Amino acid sequence: MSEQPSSFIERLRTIVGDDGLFSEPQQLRLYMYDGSIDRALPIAVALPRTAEQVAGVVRLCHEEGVFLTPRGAGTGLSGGSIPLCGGVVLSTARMKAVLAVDTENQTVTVQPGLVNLDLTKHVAPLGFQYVPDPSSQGACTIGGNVAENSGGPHTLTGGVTTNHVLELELVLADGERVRIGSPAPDPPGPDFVGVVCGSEGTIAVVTQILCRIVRKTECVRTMLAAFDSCRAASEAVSAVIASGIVPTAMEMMDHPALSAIEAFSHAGYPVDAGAVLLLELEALREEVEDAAPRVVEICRANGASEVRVAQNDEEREALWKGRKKAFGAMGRIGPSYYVQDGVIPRTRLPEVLERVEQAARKVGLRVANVFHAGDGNLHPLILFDDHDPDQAKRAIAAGEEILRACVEAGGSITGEHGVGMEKRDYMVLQFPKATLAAFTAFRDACDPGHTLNPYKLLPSGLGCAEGGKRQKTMAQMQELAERNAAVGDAY
Amino acid sequence: MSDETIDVGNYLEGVAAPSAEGLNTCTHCGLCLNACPTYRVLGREMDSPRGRVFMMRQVREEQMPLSELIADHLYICLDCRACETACPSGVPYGELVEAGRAQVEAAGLTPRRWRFLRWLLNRVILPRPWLTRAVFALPRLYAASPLRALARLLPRRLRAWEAALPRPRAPIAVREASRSGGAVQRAAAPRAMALTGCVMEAMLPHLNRATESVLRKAGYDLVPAYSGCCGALNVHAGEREAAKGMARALIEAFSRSGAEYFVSNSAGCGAQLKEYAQLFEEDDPWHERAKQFASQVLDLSQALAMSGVAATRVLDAPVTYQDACHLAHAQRIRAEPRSLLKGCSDDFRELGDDQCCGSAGIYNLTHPEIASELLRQKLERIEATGAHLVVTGNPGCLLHLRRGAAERGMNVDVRHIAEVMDATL
Ligand SMILES: Cc1cc2nc3c(=O)[nH]c(=O)nc-3n(C[C@H](O)[C@H](O)[C@H](O)COP(=O)(O)OP(=O)(O)OC[C@H]3O[C@@H](n4cnc5c(N)ncnc54)[C@H](O)[C@@H]3O)c2cc1C
Ligand code: SF4
Ligand code: SF4
Repeated sequence: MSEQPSSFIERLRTIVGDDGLFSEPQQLRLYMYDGSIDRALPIAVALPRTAEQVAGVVRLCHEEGVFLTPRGAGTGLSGGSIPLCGGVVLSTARMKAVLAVDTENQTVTVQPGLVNLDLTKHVAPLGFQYVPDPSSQGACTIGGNVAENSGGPHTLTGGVTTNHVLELELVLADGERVRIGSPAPDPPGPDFVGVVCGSEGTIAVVTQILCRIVRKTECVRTMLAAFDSCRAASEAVSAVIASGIVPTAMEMMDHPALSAIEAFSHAGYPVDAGAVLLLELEALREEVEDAAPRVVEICRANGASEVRVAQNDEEREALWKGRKKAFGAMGRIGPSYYVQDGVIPRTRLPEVLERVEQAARKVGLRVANVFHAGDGNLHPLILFDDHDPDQAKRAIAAGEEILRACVEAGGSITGEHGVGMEKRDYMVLQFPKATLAAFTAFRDACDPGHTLNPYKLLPSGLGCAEGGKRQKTMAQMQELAERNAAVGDAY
Repeated sequence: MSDETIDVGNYLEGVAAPSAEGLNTCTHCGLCLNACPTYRVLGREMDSPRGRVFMMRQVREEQMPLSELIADHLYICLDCRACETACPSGVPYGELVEAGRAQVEAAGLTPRRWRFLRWLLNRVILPRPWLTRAVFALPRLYAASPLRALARLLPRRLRAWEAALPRPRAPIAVREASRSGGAVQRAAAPRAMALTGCVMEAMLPHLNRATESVLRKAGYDLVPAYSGCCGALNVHAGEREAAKGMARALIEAFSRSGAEYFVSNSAGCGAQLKEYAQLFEEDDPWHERAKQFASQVLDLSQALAMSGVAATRVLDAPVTYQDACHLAHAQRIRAEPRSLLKGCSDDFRELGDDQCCGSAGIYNLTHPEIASELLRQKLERIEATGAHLVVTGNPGCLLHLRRGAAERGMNVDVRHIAEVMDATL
């Protein structure tokens, strides 16, 4: 190579400015993690401020064949923003402006690094809200939400991110800037926005988002019901839905989870219950007033020992605070957790929960459950000590067993946390070969050089074809990462 | 934080180090990121709570050296503790960063700007009460002198500093209200000791007088005030030994006075008083004593709210309340000041934002760029409420906000809650 060893880094620097680039080894260590359990080092971190700068970085990486991994807030739970094979991390932390609010058409234009809750706070005084509300909404970015197609407790009636995104501005793998979708709902032609939602940074970098906002609902009622067991609570969930009432949220927390949550939130959760349901009704006042007592009654009929209805906004927030910070609260009962994200048909909840429990017991670890019961989106949190490699291995084994149970029950391996690197090799559990081949072909067409977030989302032929052999793949990844680091050193 | 001698990784032995237990509570979930003012301004993981905890953990696990890089990022932290409010895992961030700074200090890695200011303040000025009084009284004396007239010749920025100087201010505008209230007479008046403090008494003595006056109206029997320093500035700077001595002296004086409560009118001091126990190892008898003492410490707003005293007058201007970090995050006090203000105002407006204003002790001197960006954001929020009176419970915030408001040419008055309550009770 005719260029000076550091010229790649220097060229990056000219794009994003001195203050927008890190390449010191100690600084890089801070970009090797996200909310999941994997880790890998980048060779540089770029913090662009504009879409042009993003395009510049992407184009340079494309030309030089250097891997590039987009990163929002790094709250992801499947390793999506970890630079698995080294390369450049592109952080959107400095692109967080609200560019326009259009209350007439009920839309907002935002930069990708805007934090989900900040969007909601921005439009709340105008009487609007942004519906998707992942439990991480206080920190995660809209760009990350789009990439993971995130949902939240209100997914049950509100839908996931893709249902609230109208138009996207993207930088494609070669650095070209394009706009897809349209400000009008349901434009003709293929749903490209739908494809990018959930693509986890593997086919384009999102630089601008036109989101849909809706009027705040008139009346909200939140209640908490305590049950002896998860089975009883699951039956109550089914009974509520069978009655024709669709709560905007139905969240379940089991006994181990409750004690951790209560220690943090002091919301007055009944810590000795076997399981607790958090239900929320949102509609016109008369509808809520009509439905709320019926829900209370159904819970009681299904064995609820206690049903508490929040009397004011403060009580309501306290109830939600416990749920929203539940994962984090696990730090109080175990050093680390490995969270799974399987989806199952609601009716199979009790039996799958039993298999979850068994899977953890088999490897000698504890498990806590906090999840979106309404749509059958499980979040078993396997507790382990991340200082102990053997425990980590056992946690991963239990996780795999749990996903298998979900697929066997007719469900899927991810509801909202995405596939990333964590579940990439489990895709074969879920999709037939031909389907995966079609996915791969599409991605290859979008990113022929495989520079965008490589080896995430789709099994890439690296020993994945025959099944979920994560261990083997990890070794190959290691090799790749070393090779890439060598490339990095050469620059 | 005991048995630090075993396995402290790359930390220095014999100096308090961030505890493994505290560091391991972090699950790197990232939920604290957007609550952190420095992350919001700088957008760098190194300047987030998660990043700082990670670095401290890496040093302990011998993955990173205790370096200038880490020192810089630990000192960019405002120590505002907003991350503790956001963190669901209960990471004891304040404790960790203070121990981290003690290590940085011991290793001689303290950033230069800090080193100088801190040396000047903690070593030269504060240990000498006469000098403290002289230095911090200067601005006040100047403000009352004829020299003032020359102020309009100063450049705009300096004029704003000048305008923030403590000086006699117009009384707070109030009007009589048809509310039943008034001073409280209690059968057995609880005895209380107030903290007049080091900087406060020299610089803003009228706030101490207002504090004493309002405490009496609330039915407290005041013993002579404690006029020493609580040691908060030393702890924040990583100077734990000096702080321990100050803590012992203060607790001793309080015990001897026979008072039931120790009342602070400064958020930063109050937080420090309530956390004295962290300074002492668990097997040190002072640990227990400090814990007992903490249960008797009240912020002024708590003391007033507890007494049930009710305002007889209401404020004329629309008012908003600025949460001082060391009240809202470190002491979890949010409700009391609000209920007091609602009791003396017909037009209380929520600021809807509890981000640090950037004052943070001497931070506005060591990191002026970040501090002024945070100040700008805060003033914008204040403007959006339309309030003409901003009330806060910390002298640092008070001066910082005053300067900012003057520089921006805003029509708002910034006052301490003691003055406001004294004017309306
Ligand atoms: C405590 C906790 C609770 C959670 N609860 C939920 C929940 O209820 N529902 C839910 O869906 N998720 C949840 N998550 C997971 C996570 O918060 C979401 O996946 C979130 O959308 C990630 O956003 P982020 O900004 O942190 O993105 P990151 O983690 O930084 O990145 C996630 C992925 O998005 C890609 N990406 C980021 N920005 C861009 C961009 N601008 N363009 C292209 N690609 C991009 C990255 O490459 C990566 O693949 C939770 C996480 C935690 C820690
Ligand atoms: S400090 Fe708390 S909120 Fe922040 S990453 Fe760690 S566990 Fe999460
Ligand atoms: S104390 Fe404040 S500035 Fe420091 S890490 Fe926590 S939130 Fe950030």
